[in-house]
Amino acid sequence: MIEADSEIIKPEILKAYVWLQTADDSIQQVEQEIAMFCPFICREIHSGMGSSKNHPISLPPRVNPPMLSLILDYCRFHQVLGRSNKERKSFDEKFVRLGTKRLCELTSAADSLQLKPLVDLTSRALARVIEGKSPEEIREIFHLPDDLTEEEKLEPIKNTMDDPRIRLLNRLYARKRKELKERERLKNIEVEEDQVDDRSVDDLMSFINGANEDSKVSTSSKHKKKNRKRKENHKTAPSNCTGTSGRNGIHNNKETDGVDSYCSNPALHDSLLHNLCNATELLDIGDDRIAPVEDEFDCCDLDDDIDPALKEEIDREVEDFARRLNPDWPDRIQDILFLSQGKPLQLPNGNCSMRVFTSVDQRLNHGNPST
Amino acid sequence: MENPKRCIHEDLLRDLPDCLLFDIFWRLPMTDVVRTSVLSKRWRNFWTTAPFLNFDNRAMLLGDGSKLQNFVNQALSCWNGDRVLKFRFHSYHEIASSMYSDVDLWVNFAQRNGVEELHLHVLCITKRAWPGFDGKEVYRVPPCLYSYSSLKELSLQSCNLEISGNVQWNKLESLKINAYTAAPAVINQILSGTPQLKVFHLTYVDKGGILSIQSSSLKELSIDKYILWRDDLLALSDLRICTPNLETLEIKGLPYRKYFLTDVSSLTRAVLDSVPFGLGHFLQIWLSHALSQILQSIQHAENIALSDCCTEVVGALKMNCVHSAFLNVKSLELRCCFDDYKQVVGVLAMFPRLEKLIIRDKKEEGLQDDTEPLKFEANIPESFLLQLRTIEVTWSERYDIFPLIEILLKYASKLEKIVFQLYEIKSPAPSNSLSLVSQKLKGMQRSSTNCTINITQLRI
Repeated sequence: MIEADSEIIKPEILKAYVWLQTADDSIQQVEQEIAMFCPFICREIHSGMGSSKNHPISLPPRVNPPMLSLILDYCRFHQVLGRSNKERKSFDEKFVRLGTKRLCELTSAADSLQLKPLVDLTSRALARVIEGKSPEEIREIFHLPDDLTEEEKLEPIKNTMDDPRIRLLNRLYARKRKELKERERLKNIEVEEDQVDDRSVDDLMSFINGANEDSKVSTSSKHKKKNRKRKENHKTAPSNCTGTSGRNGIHNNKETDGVDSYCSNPALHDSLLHNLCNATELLDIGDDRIAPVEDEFDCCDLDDDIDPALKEEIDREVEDFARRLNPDWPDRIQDILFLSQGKPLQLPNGNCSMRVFTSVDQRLNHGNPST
Repeated sequence: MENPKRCIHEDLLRDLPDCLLFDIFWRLPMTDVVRTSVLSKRWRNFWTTAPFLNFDNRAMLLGDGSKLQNFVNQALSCWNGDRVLKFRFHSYHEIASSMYSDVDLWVNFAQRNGVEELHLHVLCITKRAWPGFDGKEVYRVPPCLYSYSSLKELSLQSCNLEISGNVQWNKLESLKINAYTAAPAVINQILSGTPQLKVFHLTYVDKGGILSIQSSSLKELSIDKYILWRDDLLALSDLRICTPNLETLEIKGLPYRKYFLTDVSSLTRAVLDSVPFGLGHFLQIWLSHALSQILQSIQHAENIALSDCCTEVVGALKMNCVHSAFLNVKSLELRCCFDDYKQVVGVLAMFPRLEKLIIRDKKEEGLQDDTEPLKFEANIPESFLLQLRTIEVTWSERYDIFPLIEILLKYASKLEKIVFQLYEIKSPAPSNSLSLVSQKLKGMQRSSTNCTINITQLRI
């Protein structure tokens, strides 16, 4: 009889349990060896938490009960040592066949519990969801707000040149490209490369904009003329302006059928780059030391090199630009400039333009501060 | 102002921290990443701060000319992050040598922005090879990269390595090279300049000489030697390995003339493979000679994996000279064609203490995806399979595996678990095969008393 009784003792009682509390204050009891699979819980246990119902381990807010049970399922399977790689892999594949909402929640929860293998698995699954989809599809799947205006969607990615380090890099980058191109041009008499650049720039735009290239073709022809005029202008400009046409190679719109608002950029970019390269010559850019913004550009007053009619264009476009800028910019620029230079910079008149070039800014101040 | 397009539901990605989103970006081709800027306001410039840049043209499919060139240039000039931690450029087809200077600039860009993990694949030549090809047209790794000491992980494919000066990859832990030419001198220089290297994978074209791998930090080593042109077969070279802390060794490709594994004392796992094409008579002799040398030096390993040609050769090897053959090996993985199961039995006889046997079907030519054969775990007691506890078999029904299994079951008296995985390539009624297999297995004589049979079926 006694023997029979002792057989009734269930082995589960001897297992250790921990108590976990989710954000909604519900408390669960889980086998310790399974819960320990999560580094977060492991640490909490080692610091003495979770051993009783009164002192449960408080899980991070992103772990709600259904996600917790999913995570525990994952842990329960994988903490068994004898499983083959094939078994684990097929379990994983089935495990992430969740709806997108749950997949996002699971990723978030796994991340807050620092369960790296599960985070990798879910990230991979999310990447697979996103890959190859159009922006509309992605917005629909993830319920993203469609809060960009049509104009903004067509607008190309700015060359955000507010960070001096990036500017420096881009500048050197552009110069070197230009030098290499020059060298090659000397070798072969090829002039058609710009043509090719146009097409690919458009392709890039169509990636970004969803191929919305039909609009405003008429204005592009206007810009074509302007570009050509500018090109001639630059050719007569001093020879140290190598960076500009190099940039042209990258942001070329000479024969573009592309988006109108993109066309407005090169005017801006080219003139600004024009300023830039001259500044480059004046400064010693041998080392990558970050020079304060003002010093770089105070010494270049290069407005004289630019055709006055062009200046008007540029002014108008800069204003346009300023108006369209993301309202977050002023704060962000402050942050970046603060971080990179160790002291805060004053934005002129709190204008939310790109705090890039002194000369441009002065022009802006003279015009209407649009915001 | 009511925006009718605004969804009632909450943004699902709002709760994900930035680093997680960047990690997802790393798994996506850069074209998709750039595209996120039109999703919404939050996403407009988000990608420009990503520390992971993945220009993998196999996924982007931008063609390998100026389209790709301009896209990468454009994207890099828009980038506005703090650091580039991971950078990948992987071409799809051949790249014209006129683009090499751009690739140099991109590497330069990554370097200037503090890259730690760099993957560079600049494909410049297709599988055609001709005598006299010496790799001059291949992309040359920019010299400034060799002195860049923040690298932790580096992968170079189809690149030429010509080092003048020292290599200073002091923090490098993982290095994978797939080069057309990797002269032994270059490898030496690299190994002496990487004091913390743990993982080294080398795939290269043999041009003769002695390849000497000496590193006290190395834990994982994989060597794959191939040739481009038949005449190179005559360039017989030697392999020397002196890596006291090496745990995993993989030797693939054409055999060397001589092997000197002077110090592999910490070795636990060895993977031996040869060339993918069938072995002619000459190659078989050569491989046999090579394997007998290698096997002598790796007897203390616990885990050995043999490819099909190696299994064939090892089965035919007479290990008379070695008295205590492979007493340490607890796990053996064989990839073999089961036309002659006696061969397998012959191999198994060399491993008396085997506890786990994994049998994989030889990979079928033309099968695109990585189909692993069924794994069949069988224990075999006696000095033949006496200790065997688990067998894993992957099987795709293309040959008759059951005679082998019968033998395995007959001898494995300590067998605890058999995992049998069926791969359905052509699909008749799936339930048939499953029950067929289980019937057959049940009908076989088993000497083990306590054995679970686990049969699963995977459909492609």
